[in-house]
Amino acid sequence: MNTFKELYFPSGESRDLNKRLRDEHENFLAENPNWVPNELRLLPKVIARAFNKMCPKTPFMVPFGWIDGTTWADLKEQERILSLPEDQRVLDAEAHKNAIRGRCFRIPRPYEVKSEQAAFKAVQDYALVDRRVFNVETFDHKVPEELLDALNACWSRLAEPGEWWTGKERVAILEEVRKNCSNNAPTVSTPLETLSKKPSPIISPLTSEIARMVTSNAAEIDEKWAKEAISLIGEGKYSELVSLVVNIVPIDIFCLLLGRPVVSLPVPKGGKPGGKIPEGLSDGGAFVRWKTENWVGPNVARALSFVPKDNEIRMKLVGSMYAGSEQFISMVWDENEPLDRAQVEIIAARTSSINECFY
Amino acid sequence: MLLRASSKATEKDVSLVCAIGEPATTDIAHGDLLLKFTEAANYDSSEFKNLAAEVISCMGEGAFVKASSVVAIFNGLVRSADAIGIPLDDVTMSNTVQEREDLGLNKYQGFNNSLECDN
Repeated sequence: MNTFKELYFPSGESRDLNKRLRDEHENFLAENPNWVPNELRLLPKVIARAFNKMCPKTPFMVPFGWIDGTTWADLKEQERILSLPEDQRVLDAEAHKNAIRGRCFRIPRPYEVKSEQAAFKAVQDYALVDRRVFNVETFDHKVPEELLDALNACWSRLAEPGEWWTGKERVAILEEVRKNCSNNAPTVSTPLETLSKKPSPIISPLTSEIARMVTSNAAEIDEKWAKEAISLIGEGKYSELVSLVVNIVPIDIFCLLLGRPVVSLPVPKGGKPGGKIPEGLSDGGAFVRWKTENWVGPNVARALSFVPKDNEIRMKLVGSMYAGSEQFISMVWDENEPLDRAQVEIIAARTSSINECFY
Repeated sequence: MLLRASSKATEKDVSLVCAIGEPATTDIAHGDLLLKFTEAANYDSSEFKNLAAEVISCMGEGAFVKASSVVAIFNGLVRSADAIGIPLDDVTMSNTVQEREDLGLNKYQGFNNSLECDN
């Protein structure tokens, strides 16, 4: 920021960048009308949708997050900038920062109107602001950094295309999981063979029922039911569906126990499922094939070896929320740990028993 | 089994029936409070807020966050075990015959997934 003019008016470069980002964001909103920045996640969807639809047609109205630089297009731009080489990153971050500053008339405080100083600090330092979905600001309690990392890695993965489901299908399954989590009324299982396999509109009633069973009645799953489900949708889709359930359920429960709302589901990412069956899998006594070659470790760690990427994310969550591999084999933990091993195990044992889990 | 092993390792006396919700005293520090906390967290009980406050005041904020994260992740682990039909690890299966019998764990559906190992 060098001249008086530049303090108050955006440069041509900033205007061009804002035009591109605004166009990108409006195109995105046309496909995702419920989108809101993370800070507004509690806003009712109906209001968000109405606002997002009205915005491009109404003069002087700007999208949610436009003034703060937290629109979807800004976050994508930030991702792009962070992937650039160091020199270019600094230049592009500066250009983006200036563009955000130029989106409305901002009055600098007198002591801030100095070059090389922190005018519009909140905006200038945008690159330093932790904009991850889960960060220290989003919890009222101090959550360890390792756990925040695991939560963010998982959240980002959920919306990606998997090996067997597209991003859209994965998010639709997650919606189904949430619907079942919030529904406390007892439900009756529907025979799988009676359910349609046709998408309605994104996932089929058959997939919804399998998601419901894994979410709400997992303790009742027997070999007959599981084999039928697998024969109808395939081993890969079944494993990936289970991975989605077992990754989102702990995150949502953790958020609720810490007294904050669950995060809005992520926007699905484009792309096709890979459809690749990992090598080294064979029948090992579970309902699906899993890693058997040179396997050392508890069976639960290889449960989802059919979908290794999702399993890796799951084990990262397990490592940060329960115990990492080194901690797992040690029965006496470091004194600096907030709970000792026996305290953690009493919680684990009681939770497993409440869920009627034999394992 | 890990509850038994970890309490043995620190020479604490724990009656395993506490895991199935039966009243039992344990030598584990704040064991009773943690059990009540776990039940309230899993059953979404109205008592949860008070118990959370009690955990924080007795054991600190870190303990509350860790306890919450253990409840949360085990709600995922149990679903992966049951939905994938994981058999109990061989060593655990052979070392827990009496405990499983005493605690009535063999009546859970998941026991059938481990029958091959038991025979």
